Amino acid sequence: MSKSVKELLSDKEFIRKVEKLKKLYPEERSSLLALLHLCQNEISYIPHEFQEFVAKELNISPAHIKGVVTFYEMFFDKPKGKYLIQVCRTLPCMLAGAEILLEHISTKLGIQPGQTTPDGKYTLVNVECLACCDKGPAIMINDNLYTRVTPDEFDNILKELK
Amino acid sequence: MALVLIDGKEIVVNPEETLLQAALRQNIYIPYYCYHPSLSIVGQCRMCLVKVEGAPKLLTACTTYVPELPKEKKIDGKYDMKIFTKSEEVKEAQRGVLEFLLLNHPLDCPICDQAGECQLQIYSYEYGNSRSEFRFEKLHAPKRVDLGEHIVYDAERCIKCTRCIRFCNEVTKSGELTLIKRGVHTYVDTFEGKSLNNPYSICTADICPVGALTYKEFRFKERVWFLQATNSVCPECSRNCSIRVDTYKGEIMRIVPRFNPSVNGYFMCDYGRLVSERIKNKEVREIPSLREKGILEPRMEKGFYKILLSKITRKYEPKDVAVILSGRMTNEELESFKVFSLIVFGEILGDVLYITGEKDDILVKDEKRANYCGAKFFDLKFTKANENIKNIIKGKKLVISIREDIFKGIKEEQVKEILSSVEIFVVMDAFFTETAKMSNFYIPLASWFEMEGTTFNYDAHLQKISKCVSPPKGRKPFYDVVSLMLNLLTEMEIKDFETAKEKEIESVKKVLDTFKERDVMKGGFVPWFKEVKNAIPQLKNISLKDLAPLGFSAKGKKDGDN
Repeated sequence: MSKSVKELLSDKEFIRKVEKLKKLYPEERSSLLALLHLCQNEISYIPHEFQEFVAKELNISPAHIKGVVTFYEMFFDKPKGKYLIQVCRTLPCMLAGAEILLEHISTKLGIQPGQTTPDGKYTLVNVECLACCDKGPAIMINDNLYTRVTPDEFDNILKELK
Repeated sequence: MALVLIDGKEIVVNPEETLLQAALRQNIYIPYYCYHPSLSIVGQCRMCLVKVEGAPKLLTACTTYVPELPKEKKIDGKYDMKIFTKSEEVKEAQRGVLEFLLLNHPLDCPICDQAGECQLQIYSYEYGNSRSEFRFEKLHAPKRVDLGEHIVYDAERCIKCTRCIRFCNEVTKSGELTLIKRGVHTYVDTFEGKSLNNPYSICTADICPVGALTYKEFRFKERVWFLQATNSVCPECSRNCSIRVDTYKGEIMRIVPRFNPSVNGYFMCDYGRLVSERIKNKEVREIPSLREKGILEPRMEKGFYKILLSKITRKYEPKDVAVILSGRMTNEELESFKVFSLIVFGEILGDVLYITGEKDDILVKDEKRANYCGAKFFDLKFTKANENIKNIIKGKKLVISIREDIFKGIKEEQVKEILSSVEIFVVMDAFFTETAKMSNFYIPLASWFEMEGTTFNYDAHLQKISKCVSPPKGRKPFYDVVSLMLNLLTEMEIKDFETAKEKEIESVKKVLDTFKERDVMKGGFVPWFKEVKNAIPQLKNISLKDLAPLGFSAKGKKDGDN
């Protein structure tokens, strides 16, 4: 089980990391993306409390941080599942059958893109190009890339995920 | 400084200004949404695309600066840039931009408050296509979002120009708003648990070029093309923001800031803007009233004033009289008060109640009445707000309160105690206030929006206030009340009334007439006053005597005499 935001913000080790990242850039506010990544790596999403914390640290309005977090598809402001399943929806993958695959995953897991299963295990999202246009349809589960995925193949992958 | 040929016309572009700014300054119109003169430049809306000769694609005029070329590189040996704003290519781009902006727009003009003053409508007629090529279902976005206490947001009408966001970041520096998500899903939002509640929030609805931001106080009230606009001045602090009062059938529907670079710029605060809403809830009485057997009863005007004058004119020693004046009185009212005081009491009395409050670094001043500066010019005495009311009234027999609700929030028993020595208590106010209810004589006056006049702001900037709505017949500006009373005095026989000789009254009438007739904004007053201001840097030192050449009469001397 990952830490709560409160625990994270009172963790001295974490704060040291924040300070270090801030000093990495000529202007402190440039460290925003790095800080957001840091938080997401630690607790899998970027809660509002952390956004407010960063706003104070970098002297930016909290609203602006929210704008950045919602702009990037890679950032999540709600808790996501243990496995993040990203399905490419760009043209070459779509032509190679991404649409059918997505529908299959959707029915298999019982969730729509953007949703998380009630047990908190899987989150399904659509993403833009995964840079495997020659081997579509491509999906990415957490940091692992799978190419030429058919619905059957997906079922096999799913079995391996615990 | 660069020379630019724009549609065959030469314009000068200064190094610090963009092409759009230079063009607008020299009366060449280029359509734009996101540019606002008081906000930073973002090039967000793409409406101001123009053709620049030699550039590979169209450029946004609002972000294009014009560098000066070396002599040998100048176009036609003379110009630094050649621009086309009406070429087929530009027109095509403008049509395209508008089509994109309207792609998911609900086209709900018949129920939209902005209709009639909407830049989307205006540009669609001028630069757009009459129909859209978009044949699919439109994307839906949040509607009727409460962004704050006053502001309602409709993301479907929004064109994402970010004027409101920049306003909150740059003018109020509170940064409540942001654009969230990306691409076609983008819309304006606040951070979780926070709302748009800064003291200038309604300005975001003003600068919104479309109907995305509207404010609750005006929402669905009236179609804008029915509104009648009158220019006036905000009464709520000594900034005196220039305003435009929009009325419909004698009712104030809304107040919007009017651009005035030397006073308020483009904006005004919410508190000042909503003064029209506050005065709607106030109790009014339209007929002068006289207390008889404990009850304030309405009386016929002439009889009322005759009774009042017979009771106050030269009946009290000046030391027994207290007059509480207000910074809400215009210059004309203050001047006519001096005339009134001189004739009725034999000398110029009066304490201006000095009311202060919070201020900020943007527009709001700490002096909470409009015309304190005017009162200073008229050499009137100032008394600091409420706690000193007691001291002013203590031991006096006649008390007159003009345009101030001096007993607001004070318990009735306490008021009675304060008034224990007072024989006659006269209240003149636009509203039937708590103070008015305690009076022996109540004279209804025209309110700030119901009369003509002039006022000085804290910086001695003179502005004209206008009659935006007509008051009911019984409610008059204070100078009309004075004029009426002085006329009646000539008819009446008053014992010990020596100073008010007929000739003097004639000259006073002349003074009052000049006030009514003089249009100070057009006349020679302002340039003359600037001279005085330059000669005497401390405004305090400017007295009424300095104003005498323009017909503002000085103490002991009436300008009708010379």
